[in-house]
Amino acid sequence: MWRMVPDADRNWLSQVRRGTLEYCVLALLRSGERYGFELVRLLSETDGLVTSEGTVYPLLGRLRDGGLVETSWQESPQGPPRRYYKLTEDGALALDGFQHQWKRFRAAVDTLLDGTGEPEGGSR
Amino acid sequence: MTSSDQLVTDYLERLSAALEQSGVPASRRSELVEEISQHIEQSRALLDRDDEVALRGLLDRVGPPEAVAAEASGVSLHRGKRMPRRWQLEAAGALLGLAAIIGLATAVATSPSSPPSFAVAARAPLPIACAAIPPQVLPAGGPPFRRVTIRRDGKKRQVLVPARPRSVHATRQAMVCGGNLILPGRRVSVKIGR
Repeated sequence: MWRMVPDADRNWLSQVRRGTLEYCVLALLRSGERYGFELVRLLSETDGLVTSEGTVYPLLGRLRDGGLVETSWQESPQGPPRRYYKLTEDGALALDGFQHQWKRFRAAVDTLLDGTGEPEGGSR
Repeated sequence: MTSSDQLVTDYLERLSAALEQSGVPASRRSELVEEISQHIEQSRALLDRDDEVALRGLLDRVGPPEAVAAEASGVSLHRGKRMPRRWQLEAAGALLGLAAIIGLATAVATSPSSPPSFAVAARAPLPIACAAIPPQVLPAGGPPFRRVTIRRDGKKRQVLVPARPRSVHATRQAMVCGGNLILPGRRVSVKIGR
């Protein structure tokens, strides 16, 4: 039987998703500002990243409160004005740091999962 | 009002109630309800057909109001735990700050050759205390960050540190506890200013 206990299975995925989603938002803003609905749609279209679209909005608020993004209202070609999100300098630094660590983390886990050898620093 | 409109109204009322019940402040509550209302309207405009079945599917994708409220209040539905509040973070920072003062005082007293601005805290309990900070002490949204130039191994380098040095925050490159910058792998504390 290859599956872990279902609850534990969901738990790790939930934790990984929770820990990485904010950086995925920052990554989407790297190319320029976007409005909330656009961000949520792009995240939802990425397989397995968002299970409830509505939960992205509180996250956007936290990023703004933390100074990683800044917001501005802009007129919409149709409908009410839209709140646009833009990456701040602090946000770009945080994203760079995460990207560096994520690559190392992913490589270490892949190495172990593939059974190709010990991870770097694993023989201490 | 159509039955579809009524579905949306009911959803937004449930969302508002769930947010209030979760202790989300009124200003944030109205902001979230407005944002999600707009999200629903924009998603609805993209539906192939605007009937009740399609709208129910749309609302399912938005998620249960309780899940949105849990995210807004910092409660994980999965673990049933509340994320630490700001005062809890500040209290942890104050405690570790106290440990920092004791640790640095010990280090300076036992290392007379060390310049006062760069204390080698080999015997200080602070880095050990910092290493023991559980991950949930760190805020879910992450703190704002800034670059600090330090001298390490005789070379200048920049590390990314949280912008509020009096809080307990960490990056992969450094950790700040009670106004002290802690570099991983070294029991060295560098006093940094605000």
